[in-house]
Amino acid sequence: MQTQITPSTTSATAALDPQALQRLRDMAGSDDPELFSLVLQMFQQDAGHCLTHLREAIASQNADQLQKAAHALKGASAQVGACRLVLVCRSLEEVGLAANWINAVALRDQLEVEFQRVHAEIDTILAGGPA
Amino acid sequence: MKLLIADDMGTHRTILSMSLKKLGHEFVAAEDGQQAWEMFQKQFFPIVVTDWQMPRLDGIGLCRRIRQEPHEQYTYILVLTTLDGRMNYLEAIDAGADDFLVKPYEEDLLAARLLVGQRIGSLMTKVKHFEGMLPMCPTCRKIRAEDDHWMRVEQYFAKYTKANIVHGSCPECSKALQVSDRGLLKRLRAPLLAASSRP
Repeated sequence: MQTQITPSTTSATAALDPQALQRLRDMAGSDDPELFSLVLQMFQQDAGHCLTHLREAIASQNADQLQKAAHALKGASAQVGACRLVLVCRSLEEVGLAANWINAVALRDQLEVEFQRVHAEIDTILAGGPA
Repeated sequence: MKLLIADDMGTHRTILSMSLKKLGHEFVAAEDGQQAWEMFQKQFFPIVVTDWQMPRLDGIGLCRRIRQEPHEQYTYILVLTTLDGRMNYLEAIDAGADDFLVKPYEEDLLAARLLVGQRIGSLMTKVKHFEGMLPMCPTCRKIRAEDDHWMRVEQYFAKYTKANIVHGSCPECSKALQVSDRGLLKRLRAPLLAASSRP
């Protein structure tokens, strides 16, 4: 069974789903709250690498690399509840399959914007802010 | 029981580490399939939890390598991946995985899979133990082999092992034979006689 990837209704504008974040906090437990922060830091790092691969794949029109990078980013995004990022990655996987490079460029731009939003929200959480 | 986990993404590795710590499992982590394979060759792991898509060696390749080499004990392999779907599941099982779980996973389902892994490991140890038992006739000392066929110890070893049986007296029997010590010979044969007189 797979955890459902849909934004919760509590925060339509939040980049990260509060339910997914709570799930991660519960998994980290009260013994080691640093682990929760570590997951978010790891995600920022992993997502950055995936984005680099994704940009390279689109620039060189490498469909296989695009699919792999989009898939990897989608999986990591699902873990932290970055739901819109998951949706854009899914679309990028599809355009990768179809080798539709015009749509790929448009989706990459959407992804860059959403990634910045997610990144900023994580920074706020790591600084002890909301969510 | 120490587990081996393999995932190239820190996000997944950290989340899996959190779950395993909470479930009370000890583990070591590899950053790709190749590193996991190198660790596996140095140390036996009863449970391996591996991602599918990884650089150098992927999870499917790791499954195949573990299954290709004969091991004394069984390793339960769980493929933990973001690749879902029937075809991927079937491919993983065909490569040697025992089970398949899609990320993000429910923690209780991971715990259930690991419990099954422990059960399988324990059963396989028992099977190995029974395989190691040799039914021997207490009277004539023949051994029961395949198809209920009984054969002499020498024949059994010649057929089923690489050992070559050559006859030679042990020091105690040699000494008894040299001095014609019938009493000592009788004592040395006593366990055999006792076994053959049992009902």
